[in-house]
Amino acid sequence: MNHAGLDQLINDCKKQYPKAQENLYKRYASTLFSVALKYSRNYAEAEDNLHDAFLIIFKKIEQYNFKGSFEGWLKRIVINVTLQRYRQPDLFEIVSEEKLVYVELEIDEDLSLEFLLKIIQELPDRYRLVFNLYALDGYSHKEIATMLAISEGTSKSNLARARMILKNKIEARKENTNFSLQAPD
Amino acid sequence: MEKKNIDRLFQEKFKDFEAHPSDKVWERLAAREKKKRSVIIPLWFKLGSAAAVILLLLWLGNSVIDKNVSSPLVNENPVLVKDDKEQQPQYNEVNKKVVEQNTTEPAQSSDPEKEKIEKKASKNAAIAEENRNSNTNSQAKKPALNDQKSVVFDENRPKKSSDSGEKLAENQGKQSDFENAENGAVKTEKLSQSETKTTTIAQTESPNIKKKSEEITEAENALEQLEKEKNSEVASVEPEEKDTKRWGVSPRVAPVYYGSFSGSGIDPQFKDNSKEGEVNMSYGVQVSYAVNDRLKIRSGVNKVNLSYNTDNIGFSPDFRSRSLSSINYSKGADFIDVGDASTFSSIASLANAEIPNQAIDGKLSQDLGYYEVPLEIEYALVDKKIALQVIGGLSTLFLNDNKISIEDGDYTTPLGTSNSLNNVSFSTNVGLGIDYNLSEKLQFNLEPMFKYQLNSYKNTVSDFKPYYLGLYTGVSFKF
Repeated sequence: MNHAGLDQLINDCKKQYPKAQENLYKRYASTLFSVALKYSRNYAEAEDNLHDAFLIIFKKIEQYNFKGSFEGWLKRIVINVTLQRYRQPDLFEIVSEEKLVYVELEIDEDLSLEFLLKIIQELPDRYRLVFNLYALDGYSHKEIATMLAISEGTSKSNLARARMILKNKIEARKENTNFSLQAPD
Repeated sequence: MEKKNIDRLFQEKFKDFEAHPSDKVWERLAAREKKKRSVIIPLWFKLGSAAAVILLLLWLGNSVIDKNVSSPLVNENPVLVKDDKEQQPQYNEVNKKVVEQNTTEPAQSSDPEKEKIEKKASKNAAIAEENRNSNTNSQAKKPALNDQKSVVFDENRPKKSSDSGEKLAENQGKQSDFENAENGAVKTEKLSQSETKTTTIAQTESPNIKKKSEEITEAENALEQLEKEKNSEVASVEPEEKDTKRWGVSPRVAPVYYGSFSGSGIDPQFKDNSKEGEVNMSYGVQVSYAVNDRLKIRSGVNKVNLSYNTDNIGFSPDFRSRSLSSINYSKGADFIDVGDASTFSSIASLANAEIPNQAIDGKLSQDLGYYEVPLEIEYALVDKKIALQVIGGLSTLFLNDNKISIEDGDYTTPLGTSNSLNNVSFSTNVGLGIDYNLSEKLQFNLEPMFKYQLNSYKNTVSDFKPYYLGLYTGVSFKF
């Protein structure tokens, strides 16, 4: 779809034309679903969040003023839906601020996408949000702090913990596979 | 194997990541959107048609009642008509001969004779008219009517009946008069000649007959009209009603609740935020005029204050506000950044938060004041000691107060005024009235009213559909 075509589609959606809404959904569902998957706890919740996000998109599209990337606008709505849902502090939240550690690890290139997605989804809510926002979507700690209504320090600390958890899981898997390779003798 | 920053690992892996949600997601969305759409019948349409129906009922009811009121006075007419009807059979018998004579006339179909008949008809009409105009006793009227009626009644017969065809046939060639004396002769000839000529002549003559009968029905119509005019004259002579107290004045006061069906009066971004209507007071004076026992027209002036809150608002101090375009900020208030709480803390602040600022949750409150001039019709369903009315009409609203402020718990900060309000707007009103008659001059009123505002906001704000409910109470004095 060319640029004018997209503008037309957006304008039709502003008029709440059902066909336009369906086209918009078809066009962006998979892109946005990948965002939803990364920010959600699991597949089912990701679908719920995608659904809620599209409801908001259809309602609020009349506010989109063609400034900035439309896809970016859509993604932010998906992210916001997940933030609304998951940003309540976990009961076991650790308030202490830790020093940022630069986490490096040795990895097989063939780590599957499914596995990586799974371990992101398994992160505690706040860690998952911070990791996604910072590492995958390029928000600054300042921005994340505002979005999640936390301090910058908490954001940094959450990020560090998220990285550690991910690293441990990747290494554990590696050991498992190494073990399984050695096992059959 | 290589050493890698864990962030980069994920970034690279997820760079082109796409995943397809199951079809269920779209199905749910589609179902929901469909349901939403099916509900949308414009409210003004519903209300408008309701008002139209009410007005129609009022009008119908009123015209029926008018008739009832005048009927005792016009009572003579039904009697007259009845007499006529009763006597018609008589004419048939008594005047049959005349009638036959008359009906045969057309059969001759010569022009002079046509004229004769017409003359006769009009003469009868004239007589009838004279009689009626001059007459005070109905007996004298009747003969005239009878004459006329008999002509009229019977002239129509040739059209349908075949035996009149016979008669026509027989009478052909005969120089006919209107004198009754000749009927005997006609009759006797009829018997002898009937078989031979009937059908053919009947056929050929029929157009003329039709023509004639049409003319005569015209005469009949003219007569009927005369009769009607007569009746209406009689009706209009109806004595004037004993003049009851038609005017009423009542001071009124009402708690009014301001609500809305959808949209926001402040900014489109708030259209899905919940709104809380507040209860304020309306007070004023009403003047009413009773058109008749059931129907009143009323007007007056009310002062109305309305206000509502928009919930879930986020706001924070900011060096440059993302000002809401519909607000004219008052001095000192323009550093306040206001937005929908659900998007505010994330999207809004992202754009301009150099200093991390914490959004405060609160409410946005809009206060409006109007002078209302209603024009309403009140129709009494029950008119006893306790009276019940339906009320419908329009109000013109003149804006005189306009304020938007932020509320956070106990604190209220004025923001400014709305620039999206029309200075003059309208509302459609429907309601019920309950009156308790304390005495002939004094009554107590209680009126729950629903007033739907039509154009109180300019188009710049998302389609806000405000209404207000009022429970009007008052005491009215009649004079």
